[in-house]
Amino acid sequence: MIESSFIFLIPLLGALLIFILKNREISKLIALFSVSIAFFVTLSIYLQLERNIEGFQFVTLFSWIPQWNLYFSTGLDRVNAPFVLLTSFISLIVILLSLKTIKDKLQSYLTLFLILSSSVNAFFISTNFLQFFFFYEAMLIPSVLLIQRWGGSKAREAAIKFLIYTFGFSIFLFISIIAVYIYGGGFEFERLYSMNLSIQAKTLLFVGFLLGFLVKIPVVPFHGWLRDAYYESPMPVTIFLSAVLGKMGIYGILRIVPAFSDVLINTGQWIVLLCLISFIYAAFLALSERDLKALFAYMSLSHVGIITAGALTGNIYGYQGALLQSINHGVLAATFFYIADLMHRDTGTYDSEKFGQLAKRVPVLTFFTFAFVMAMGGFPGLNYFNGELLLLSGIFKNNILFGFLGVIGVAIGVVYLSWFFYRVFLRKPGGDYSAKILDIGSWEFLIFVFNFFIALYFGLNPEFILGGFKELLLTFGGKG
Amino acid sequence: MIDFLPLFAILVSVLGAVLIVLIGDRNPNLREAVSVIAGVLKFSFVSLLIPPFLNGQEIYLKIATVLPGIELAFKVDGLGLLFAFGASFLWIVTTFYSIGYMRGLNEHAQTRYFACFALSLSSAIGIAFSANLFTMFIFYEALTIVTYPLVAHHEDKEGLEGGRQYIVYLLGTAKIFLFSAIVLTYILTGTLDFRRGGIFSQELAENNKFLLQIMLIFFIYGFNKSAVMPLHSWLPAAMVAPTPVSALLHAVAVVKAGVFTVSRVLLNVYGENTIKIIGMQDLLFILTGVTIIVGSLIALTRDDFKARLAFSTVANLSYIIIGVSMFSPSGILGGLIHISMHAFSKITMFFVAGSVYVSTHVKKISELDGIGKAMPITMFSFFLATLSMIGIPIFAGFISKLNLAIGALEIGRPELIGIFLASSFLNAAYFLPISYRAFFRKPENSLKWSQTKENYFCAIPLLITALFTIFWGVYPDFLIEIIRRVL
Repeated sequence: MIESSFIFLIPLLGALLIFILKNREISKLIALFSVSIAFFVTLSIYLQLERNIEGFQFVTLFSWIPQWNLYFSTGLDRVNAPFVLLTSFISLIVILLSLKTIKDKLQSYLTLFLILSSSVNAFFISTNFLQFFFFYEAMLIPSVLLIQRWGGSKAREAAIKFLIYTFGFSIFLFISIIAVYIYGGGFEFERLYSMNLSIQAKTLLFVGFLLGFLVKIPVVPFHGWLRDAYYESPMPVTIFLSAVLGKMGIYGILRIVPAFSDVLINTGQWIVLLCLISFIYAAFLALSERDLKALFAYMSLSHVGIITAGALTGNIYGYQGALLQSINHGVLAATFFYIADLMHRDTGTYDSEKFGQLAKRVPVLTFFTFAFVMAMGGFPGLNYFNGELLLLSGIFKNNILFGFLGVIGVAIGVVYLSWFFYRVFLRKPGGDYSAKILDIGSWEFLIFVFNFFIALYFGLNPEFILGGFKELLLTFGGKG
Repeated sequence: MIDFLPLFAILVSVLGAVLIVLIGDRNPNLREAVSVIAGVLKFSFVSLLIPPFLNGQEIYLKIATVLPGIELAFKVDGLGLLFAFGASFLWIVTTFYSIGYMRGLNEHAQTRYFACFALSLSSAIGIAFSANLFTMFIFYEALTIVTYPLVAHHEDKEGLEGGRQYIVYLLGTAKIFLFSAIVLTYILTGTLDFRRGGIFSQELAENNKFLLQIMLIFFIYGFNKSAVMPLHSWLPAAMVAPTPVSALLHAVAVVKAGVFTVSRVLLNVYGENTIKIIGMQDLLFILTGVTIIVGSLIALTRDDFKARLAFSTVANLSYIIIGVSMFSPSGILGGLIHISMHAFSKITMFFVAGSVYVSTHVKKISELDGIGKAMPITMFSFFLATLSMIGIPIFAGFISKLNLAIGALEIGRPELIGIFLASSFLNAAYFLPISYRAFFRKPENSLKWSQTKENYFCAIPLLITALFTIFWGVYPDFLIEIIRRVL
């Protein structure tokens, strides 16, 4: 019998083994083995999950202090399952990359990374707020250590900034969770839905939750930590952060919004606007950025803005769109950072002005980058388009003017992506560094093919992530 | 089996493009043979669809359901068949012409050229057979992207600038206007399918008048390939492309995809009722009427051969939209049949411009005095095409203009006839002087054309298309029969 807790226990066990055995070669095998098993366990649970029923499945439950209503419980449902699958998949990719690129203190690195991956998944599969909060914070420790120890020259400051921002704002999240415990009588998610509060109290509670989530996503103006943290991290960690970390906040929002539909109609509107401003503002930052890693960091920042906006629209389109786009964004953002890494590996620079006319030199890399630019640019038929369609449907349904803001942001997105592609791959004359780049090997080829396959598959079959699209309508009380 | 034919018709040139890239410059003859074979196969697949269609058989193929109400699906109807038939036939002719042109000028990157050409035809046929806005959007965007390398083919400063305008206009409008319009359609109706008579119910139209008005404008400018003014300037800019590209894409495939998609939206998304309820018919007449007259006037001032043709195209595209937006049987017939009639006339003219350039490297009309003696087939074909463009009886253009005029009377708007008359007069004013110069003026230097010879790879295709302008003028029944099913 498979239980959901295996998903986070397996990497944890791997971390423990690496720590005990202290052998470089064996630790590589253990790391790879544990994330692979975790991935396949997740996948098998995911495929067996009944998507058209409510409530958690594959539940693991331990009583802790029953008289206080405290339990340790994990489970999956149609909302968190896609996030768990994403985390397991990205963990696998990141371990594969790390084994190739990280040379220094590999065992400690792998131990920390497995703990990170495990705590993020533990966060996603929690079924009560206490555990949810615990792992929300716990994952900071390994990630801060990873950034600081294996990062770039300013990694120390970046790590501290990251810690202060996210840790600092979590206090609001904590207060809201305590409020749920006091007024709802327990930490389970259902308590939130059944609470009977005045609209003012609900609004306060909602804002408390949001402050905790918006910093982690992040949304402008809470994004101060983002550039440095992404930029200074070693590449595998950047990939993990961009693909998964922001999704924790989005998942948190998706988890709580069904309880706050009346708040969303009023206060929520302003936050949707804030998210859209974040979307456009970050798009302009990306437009003016010449450093590839920073460009992709801002691209990530921009896109999570519209995803959050969709999650907060309070209708089924936006909700579904946020769920779908989180996964799409995870896969594609990871791929873009990987592309930047490939260029950096051969030339030692991320500066796009130093490249040019790569199309002639590295046709295969050019082809795949073009394919991913199309996917990320929202080419219809590929995965990102469906997410954009649903998100914008949700936003338009709320407020036509907001919808147009969203469309403008999407259009700027196409501009900086195509400008990036033109500058690096087509523009004549080629930069000094272009000559140093080698085309991708069979190894990278496989990763690219697989990720593009995902883009195509999710483009034609988003049902794989969304599960019962029509059934979810019911959860929202037919509000869609 | 017959349901798969539209898919085959699309995929055959994708396969062709792959083969073309694989063969590459090693064996140019084989590479061009692949182009021709793919063209012939594509045309056969499209032609095979005609008999079952005329027998009233439903041809529908669903590949995937993406979201509720959004499918990747293909459907064959009269409108699509008309567009696909013309485009796939002219591709064969253009391939032969391209061989003459590209080899005659010793152009670079010919493999890329032929591959992109094949892909753009796939996209055009995909647009023709799309069963809903989603599928159409895929191929519409694909068409923009695969034609960019063709427009920027020369990769010099001019070419890149023309290409930049082309891609910015077309991608930008599609992303901002078209995407918004599609999203709004989806949330209003929950579907993106094309249906006879439109998908907006009467109640919906009455309650959302303003929104639907804005969306219609978004659709028209979102499908910016139709080049309705004031967002038309990408089209003349795209004339930096090699002439066969301008010919097929900017007389047949790309711009016609633009008006085709707009017609689709008018007929199968909005429908006559909705347009009348939201009261947009007059605005459509004004936008297109202004485009026709102003486009023709600008054409009059251009001395560059291709620029004159480009502005003439801008004007002629609006004929089609104006006809469809009349929503009367003859109006729609006149508009839609102009898709084919204009295609055959205008492609001939572009072929002539290219053929003259291959033989003489002359681009300006004012330098063509007396060339008719040196290139009789070419310039005679141009004269035939001119007569068709003006709308002289027994030529193709007459059929469309006649029906457009009857359509205007049917809906009681005789003032529209004024537009058609004025524009026909302007057509004569900017095209006839070219033939006059070619045949009746003497060059300043009597030896100027003594070395000039016709390139038969170029001359024969353009003679064929020119003769077709007479053929369609005398026997339009076949095309009319297809369009009747749309009405």
